[in-house]
Amino acid sequence: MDALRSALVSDLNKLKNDMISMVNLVNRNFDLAMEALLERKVDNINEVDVSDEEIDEYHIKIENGCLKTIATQQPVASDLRQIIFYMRSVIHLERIGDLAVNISRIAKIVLLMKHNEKIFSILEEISQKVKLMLSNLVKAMSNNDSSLAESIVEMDEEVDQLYSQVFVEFGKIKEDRNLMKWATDIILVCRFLERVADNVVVVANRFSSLYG
Amino acid sequence: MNFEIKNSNLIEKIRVNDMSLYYKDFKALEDVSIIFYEKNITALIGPSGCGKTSLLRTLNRMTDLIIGARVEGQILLDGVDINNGKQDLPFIRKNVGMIFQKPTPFPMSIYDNIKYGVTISRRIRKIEMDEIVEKSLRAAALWSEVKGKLNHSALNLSGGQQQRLCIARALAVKPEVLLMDEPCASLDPISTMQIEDLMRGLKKTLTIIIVTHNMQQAARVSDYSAFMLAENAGDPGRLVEIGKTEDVFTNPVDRRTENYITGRFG
Amino acid sequence: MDNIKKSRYQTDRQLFIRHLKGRIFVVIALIATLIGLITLIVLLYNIFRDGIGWLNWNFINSFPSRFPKQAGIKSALFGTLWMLVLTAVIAFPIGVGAAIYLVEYARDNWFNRFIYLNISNLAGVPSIVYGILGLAIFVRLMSLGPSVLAGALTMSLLILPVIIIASIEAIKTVPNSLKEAAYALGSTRWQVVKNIVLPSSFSGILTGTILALSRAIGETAPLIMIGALAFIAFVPKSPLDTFTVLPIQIFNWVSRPQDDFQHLAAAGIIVLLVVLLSINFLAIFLRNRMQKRFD
Repeated sequence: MDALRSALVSDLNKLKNDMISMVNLVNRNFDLAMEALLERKVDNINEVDVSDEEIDEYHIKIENGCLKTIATQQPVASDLRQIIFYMRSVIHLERIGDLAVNISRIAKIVLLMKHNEKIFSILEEISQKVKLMLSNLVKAMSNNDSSLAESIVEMDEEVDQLYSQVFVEFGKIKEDRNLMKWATDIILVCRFLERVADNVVVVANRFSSLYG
Repeated sequence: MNFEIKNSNLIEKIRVNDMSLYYKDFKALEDVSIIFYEKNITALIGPSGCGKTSLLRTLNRMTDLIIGARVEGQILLDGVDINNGKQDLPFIRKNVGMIFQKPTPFPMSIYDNIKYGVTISRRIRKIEMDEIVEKSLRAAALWSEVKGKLNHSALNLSGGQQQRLCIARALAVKPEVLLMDEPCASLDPISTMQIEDLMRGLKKTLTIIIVTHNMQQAARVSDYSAFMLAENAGDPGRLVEIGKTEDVFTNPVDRRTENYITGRFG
Repeated sequence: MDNIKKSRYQTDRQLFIRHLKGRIFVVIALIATLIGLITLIVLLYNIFRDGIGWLNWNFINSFPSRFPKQAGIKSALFGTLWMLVLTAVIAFPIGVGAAIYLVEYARDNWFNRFIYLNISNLAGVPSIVYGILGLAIFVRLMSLGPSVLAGALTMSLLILPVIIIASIEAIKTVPNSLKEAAYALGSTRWQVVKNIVLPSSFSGILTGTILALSRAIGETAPLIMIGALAFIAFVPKSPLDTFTVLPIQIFNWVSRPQDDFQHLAAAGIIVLLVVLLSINFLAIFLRNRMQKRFD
């Protein structure tokens, strides 16, 4: 009962490994970007840019691999669903990588500016949650853990709530021009973080329905 | 086990109830219950020896030709049981036509091949016969290729043409059901595509049941797919799963179906 | 470098031996064919040389006589033709019918297998035995006397197994797929036999029948047994008349000491060969006509 369709099985394994490498890379880039912003590690910014190119290459590699497997192996049923999952998820993962780059660019500007503690602490909280969501996604995909993937979806609610809170705090600092400029950039970062969370949730959802 | 697809637009054409097939002492099929819907193409798939060809052959009682074959259970064609011995065999077979794996043109002219099925049950004037020949050949997408040489031997046609001639021949007696036993197995890819296109056209007026080893073909051409299996050597064949083809091929219910169509076991 | 050259040479040598074996076989086969062919040619030449001088219209149109110059084979020729036709008419339908029954209708049980086995055995029974059978049943029991009918019935018995077996073989060559296709269109069993099986197997059946009849023409012993005599001076007018056949007449002449009768015998043999060839050409002609109708 084994060694049948070894070509297809080997294709699927390669694609899975590439997916896990890509999601690990995305996760790392995200961490580097957040570090640059929150801990003022300037050196990270360059590395994020370089790694993002690698992420883009993985996207193309995995997508082409999926196309090739569909054309040459005619997968059906769960094999087909797995391949389609990969093809669609790489788009979301690349988006997360792009958002990490955007965050790191803002880190360059924001590092030297005056800031508001309250807003900053909300930002820290959001970033922790999103960081956890993303690292859980990596764990879930590496270990085929669909229940962990489901739990990620639940965390998205909390992120949305924190996001609304930022606006409230923003309203309170209307008078200080310089502070407002800084806060605007921070809100932008929060927006990015919220988008990262959305993308993570989409992938986690599909993953858990694939293996659930 | 009984599999029914709930859809009020569908009309039952053939319903098989708890049918078992024996070849002398050997049980080839066990308790098969299946419904074939009118004007739809149903594909029977499964590994060698699962009984799909045997099932096909019970539907027009070709199993009667095999010495020692015995069919138990009901086979209802338009509600009438054709297995109870009271129905006229030639009449059933006119109504339920069959196309075989290897094209079987008679060693006669193309015209006579088509004439054969019509004239075995009635006399017919030449003018009427000419019309039937043309209609049947058109329905089988063969008219334009042979219209100038109807009195040439059918044996001179290519494999794909011969198979379409067999289809025309079967259509000439106006069946309501067409059984196809791996009709493209001995044909080249282009002939295969032509016959698949033909089937799509024919299903507007006919009910088609096709046995095929080629899963991509089953996926391309059929509306419903039925997976059959004989689990161990010597077991009778059983129906495992039947459903709309798009469902069976993206999300099969039974693990065994999944294993077969993904090719994880032969 | 030398090693490569040497191994090449070895392979060439092996190749040469293989080809040589093939050629030797071809030569042996050719010699075998030539032996048969040359023997036939020599025999025919001798016959022709001996008999052609005596072959004329008189010969064909006269009855046997003690005087060689006046003797002819009219009675024997007509007797042979009568017997041929009657035998064909009796044996052909029975033989083909039996073959059809055994292949298409009979169930596969021990009884039918037993029948088939015995038919094969009957084909090998010495023809004199049929003569004895014919004498007892047709000549005496059915009171047909030493008539053409009795002779034809006896010969029919003799060649029936051959016809049946040849027909069975011919019918079996009709592919099952063709019959299935006919059934699938709604044919009854008889329609399948009449429209598909018989036309396809007809040439084989015909060939078998001609072979059987060819054998029948040359049979002497059984006909002597049932009473076909040598000195018959009339032509049969009805199936119940007594008769004689070519082989008997020829044998009768050969047994005479005078040289002239040897020539007569040779002429008789030529006539026999002509009859034989005519039947075969008739068969070929019929076969071709059937083929054309089918295309």
